[in-house]
Amino acid sequence: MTTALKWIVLVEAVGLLAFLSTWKLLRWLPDRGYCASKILGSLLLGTLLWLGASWSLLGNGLGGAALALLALALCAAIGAKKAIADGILRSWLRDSKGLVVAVEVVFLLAFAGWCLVRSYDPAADHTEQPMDLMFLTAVSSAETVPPEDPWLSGHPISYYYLGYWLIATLGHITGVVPELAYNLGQATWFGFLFAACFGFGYNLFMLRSGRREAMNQGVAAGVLSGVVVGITANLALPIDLISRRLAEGSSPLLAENWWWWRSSRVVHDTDFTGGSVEVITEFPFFSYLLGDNHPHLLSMPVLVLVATLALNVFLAAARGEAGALLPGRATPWRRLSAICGGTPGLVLVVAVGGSLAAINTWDVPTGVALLVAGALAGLLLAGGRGTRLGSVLLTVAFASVVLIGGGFLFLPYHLSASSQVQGLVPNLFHPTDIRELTIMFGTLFPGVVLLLGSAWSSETRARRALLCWAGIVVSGIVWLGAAGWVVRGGGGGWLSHPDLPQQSLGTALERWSGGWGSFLVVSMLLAIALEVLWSHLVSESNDAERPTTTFTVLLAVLGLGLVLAPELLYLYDSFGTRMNTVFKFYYQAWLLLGCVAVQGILVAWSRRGKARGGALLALCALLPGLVYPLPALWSKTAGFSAARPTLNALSYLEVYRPEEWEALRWVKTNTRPDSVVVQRSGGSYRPEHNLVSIATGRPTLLGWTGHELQWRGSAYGELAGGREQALRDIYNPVSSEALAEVVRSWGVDFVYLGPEERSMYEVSPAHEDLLYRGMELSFDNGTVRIFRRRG
Amino acid sequence: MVGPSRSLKEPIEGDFIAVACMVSAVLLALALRIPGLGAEPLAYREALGALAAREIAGEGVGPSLAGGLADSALLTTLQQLTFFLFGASSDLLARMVTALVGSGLVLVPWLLRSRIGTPTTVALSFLLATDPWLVYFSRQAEGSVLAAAAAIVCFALGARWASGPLAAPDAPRSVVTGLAIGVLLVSGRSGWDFLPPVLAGFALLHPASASRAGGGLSWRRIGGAAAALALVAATSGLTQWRGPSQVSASLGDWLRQWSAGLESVPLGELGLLFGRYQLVALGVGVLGILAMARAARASSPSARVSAWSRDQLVIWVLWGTALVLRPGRSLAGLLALQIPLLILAAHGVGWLFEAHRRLPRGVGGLARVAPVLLVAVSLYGSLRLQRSVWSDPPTALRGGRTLEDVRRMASDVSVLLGLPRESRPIFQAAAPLQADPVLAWYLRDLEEVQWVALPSLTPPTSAGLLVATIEASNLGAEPPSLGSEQYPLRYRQSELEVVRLRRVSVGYSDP
Repeated sequence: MTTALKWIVLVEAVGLLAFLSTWKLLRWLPDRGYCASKILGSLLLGTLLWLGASWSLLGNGLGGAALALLALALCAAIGAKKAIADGILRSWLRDSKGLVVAVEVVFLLAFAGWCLVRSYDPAADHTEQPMDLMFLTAVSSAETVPPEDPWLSGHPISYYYLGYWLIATLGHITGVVPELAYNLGQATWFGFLFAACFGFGYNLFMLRSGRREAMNQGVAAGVLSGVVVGITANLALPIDLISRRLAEGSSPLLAENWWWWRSSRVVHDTDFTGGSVEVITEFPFFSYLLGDNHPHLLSMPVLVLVATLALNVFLAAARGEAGALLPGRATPWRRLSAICGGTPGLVLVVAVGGSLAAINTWDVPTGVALLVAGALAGLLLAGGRGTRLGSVLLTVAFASVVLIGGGFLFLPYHLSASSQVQGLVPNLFHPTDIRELTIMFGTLFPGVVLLLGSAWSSETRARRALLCWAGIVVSGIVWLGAAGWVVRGGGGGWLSHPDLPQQSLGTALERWSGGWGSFLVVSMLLAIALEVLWSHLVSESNDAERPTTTFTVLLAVLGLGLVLAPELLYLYDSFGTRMNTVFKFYYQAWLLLGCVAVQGILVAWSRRGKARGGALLALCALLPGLVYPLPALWSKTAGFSAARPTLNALSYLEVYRPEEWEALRWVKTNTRPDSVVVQRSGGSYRPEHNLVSIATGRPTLLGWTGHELQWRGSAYGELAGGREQALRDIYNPVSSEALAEVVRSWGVDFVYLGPEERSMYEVSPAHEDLLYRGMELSFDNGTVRIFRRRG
Repeated sequence: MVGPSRSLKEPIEGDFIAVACMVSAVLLALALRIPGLGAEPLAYREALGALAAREIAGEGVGPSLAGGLADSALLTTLQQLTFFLFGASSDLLARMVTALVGSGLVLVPWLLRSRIGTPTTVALSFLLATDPWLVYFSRQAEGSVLAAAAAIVCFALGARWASGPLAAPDAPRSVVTGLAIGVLLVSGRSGWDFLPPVLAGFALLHPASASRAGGGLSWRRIGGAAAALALVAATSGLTQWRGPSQVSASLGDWLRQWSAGLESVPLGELGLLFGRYQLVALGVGVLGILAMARAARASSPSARVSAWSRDQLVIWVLWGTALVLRPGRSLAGLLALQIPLLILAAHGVGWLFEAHRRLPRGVGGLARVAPVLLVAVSLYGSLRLQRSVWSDPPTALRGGRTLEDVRRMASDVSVLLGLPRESRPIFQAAAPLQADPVLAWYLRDLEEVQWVALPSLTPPTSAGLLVATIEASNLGAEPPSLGSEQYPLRYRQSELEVVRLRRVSVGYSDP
């Protein structure tokens, strides 16, 4: 309890510092960025420490984190000095008391609530949670940046690790160990997501409303945004329940083990033998329920933060100081920075945008698209202040600054990261079933449609929308045809197809002939959204709602584009399927379309008449999505039945593997963070295989091999070559001299001999005797022995 | 501050008595610091730093040390230069740097002579020379005294700045200020004991200076910052550490002291140590605050500097009190309370000295000799404290310090290793995990030392000599041995750690 309190006090303080730092920069937003400052604070703090550590200016620990905090405090002092002196800040706080209280209540409730949930299900012992904990312990104890990969000693982590770093930074200051920080961090990020979505919904509503008195409704809009994005599920559970009820004799769904998992696999691709190909369709609540602190979970609030910055950019460009953007009346740099409200604003956008690459690279295209599209839309909306060509050129310059600046700022990450993406694959064989797509987005689409309907104005042309739809459909067909033709000949460079050499294009036609529904429906919605967007951009109307509607429709365009994209192409990774592309794109689409749906409902509700009926219907469509959370929570936590709730992710070891737990504590206390502690090589999803690296972050020769293969791609063979054999040579030595030689040549400091190693390598007494002779026994509790390299 | 005895602009020349007093103070400081400097063996942290300095100076690569990096990069750099210049390393040379800095510190008050007057200057110099804790820490190879010296220099610079006509110091003074702050940054944990009050002192100057100069960045300020950064970079480079991150590492260690109680000294014990040696200084210090408050209200040219000094020293005393009261309090933290009290005490006796003519005859005479009395008390306390280091049972002062027997052990080992090759034993120094820095330091010249883990001593092929420190081990089994010799090493908490030499003439069976 005290630990959680200490933790949340720091998070709140850091958020406040971020708010004060960006007070002036986010002045276009009705909440001045207060809601998004929760995640922004932790992001800036962690990034400052990471940058400092990358350039050896700061140590990765309490001292470095404290100096980063000091730097943030300095920024806050500079950023808010004038506002405090002039009393503007005080007056804003007085006027926005309701908002501040509401967002704090939402944030703290989400944090406390998720702490409660995690305390009944704390163990990081299933799916990829051990891997997430391993990364957290590794970055927490790393003395250098990039941190060493605990499952491939001698090589840096080849994964998006900045999210773990952010949690570790909070842990450094509060003195919270990684196994506790794992669950506290997850609860904090749940709160961040709620606060960020709350702020985004609130800002859009208040901008549309334009009345300060509407704050209570704005708060309601914010809460609804948080609930729709963070709690609502897809329709898989209600549909399963209904279908089971209709089918006689079937067993009750909720009695099945891990029934809640099914909602994350609603799209089913099939291979050429009729077998199922796994496609992940997670949504935010499922990710939290599962409890993996994965990059996509950690990047969620950051993506909403980027959307908030994009809104600020959009408003700054659309409402910027008159003349500031006029060519000839301002320097190119001033015109560029004016898009973000000044040079510090541009730096902020570059830093936050650039961080996406190191938190979850999959979010980079969407994040950059949000910022760039926001800027372009704002400039076009400003109309008279410049020509369209000028706006486009300025946007190109802005995009270049964001991309190059972000890349340069996070250069140390890019230099050490290797991509697992091997190319681009045209989706010739797996069109999404329209029913499955409906199950996935059925709760959100009605709200989106409602928004497009509400935004349809007298200047919107159905014929143009139709032409646009035709254009998209034809482009899609041309893309699939042309790309299919190219890869038919083997492909080349980035364009390839893992299945095509064996399959004819006829099979592709056959599959598409029965599965065009999703493509046509989503492309139609996209075409409508594009036409509505265009009509708003070129409109001469002075409607006060126009800017907000334009930005909301822009979000809809991006969200629908993300849903459409996996129909046409996917990234070729080590799985060779579109599993990850669908997963990551749908996930981002959920965030954007969730916010759009809420705005659609609110806009329609404000129109009265038939529109209000539509709003009610769209609201009702959300309700089935709320069936899932409570029973899923009950099932995952075994009915909240734990006798001793705890937030310690490793508490299960104390109970079930006490001897190994004792050995792990010894390793943590008595070895340096970069000591190579050899364990057996591990099978994916098996924490017991690599407990040392998971619990202590100490590197071993080879951890979960399957995952290393995923992260390293084609380089895996070269990087991991000889390690399996070295492990066998260590655990089954032929002589003490040979053992000493292999230990020396692989830079091994300690050898961990536990039950898993004895079992996998069949370590005999003779082998142990050679370990005694060739190394030094440093720890022994009967179950685990740890040997140290001589010298 | 107490008003100067002459006008600020009046040149100070030919004051033979003042110069003679300063020289005497320096000589006294040296006399208290240098004799017997290497008599006590290096303690754990001292050995850690000295070993690092020796290794960097190119006198050989030592074993990997359990305690990690040395605390102060600056001290390691200076020790490294000392070892390099003398071409050898010893306990005395390891402590020479801090002893000389501690002695040189006595001269700093001279910078303030025109602001605080000759009597106060001389009194402060003598107090700095004889203060028990300053003498104690000057005789340790740790960064505390470097930090204390830098803090006093910062105070002197601040006082000059406060009294000067310019908004900000000129370029050379900016550089010196930057260097002093740089010294605080690279002095290790102790530097952070002084940095907050020092920065608060400069912040107190800022509003006035900003209004005079318009604030903002200036080349002078950039010069000061560059000097501080250059010092950090230079020490980082010379000690081959991981760049300037040493600063954040020491900050981390220091911050942990606020909550962790691992090396915490019991408050009662610390209070007793403080009271025994500093009570008089504390009493006179109160007089100093009163004198300063009075001078700050006056309309003399020094009123501004008096007001600044009063505020700065009050902040410093409060900060020092907080350091002493924190859960992870350490002996070195006393210095942060000690230094402002000394300055205040010097002002107290300086004021008495100045005021003796206005006082009744008997009291006036007493006031005139007050500085001498205070210095005498300080000197007596200093001698008593140094003696107690040798004679007292384990206390906060004594706990963790290495006992004399370690040298006997090193000498015995050297003799044994000096035997003819055929009868020379294999020598293994065993430690629970990694080498103990104290053992590593005293066995540094013996190339034959093999550092091994405690429970797995290599079966000797001939007669062997094994060295083990007694520390907690999870393994009960010990290799059989024939005969043993024990050498008390140090007290840690309530346990006495002992080095045992075991002579083994036959091999032992594997576990």
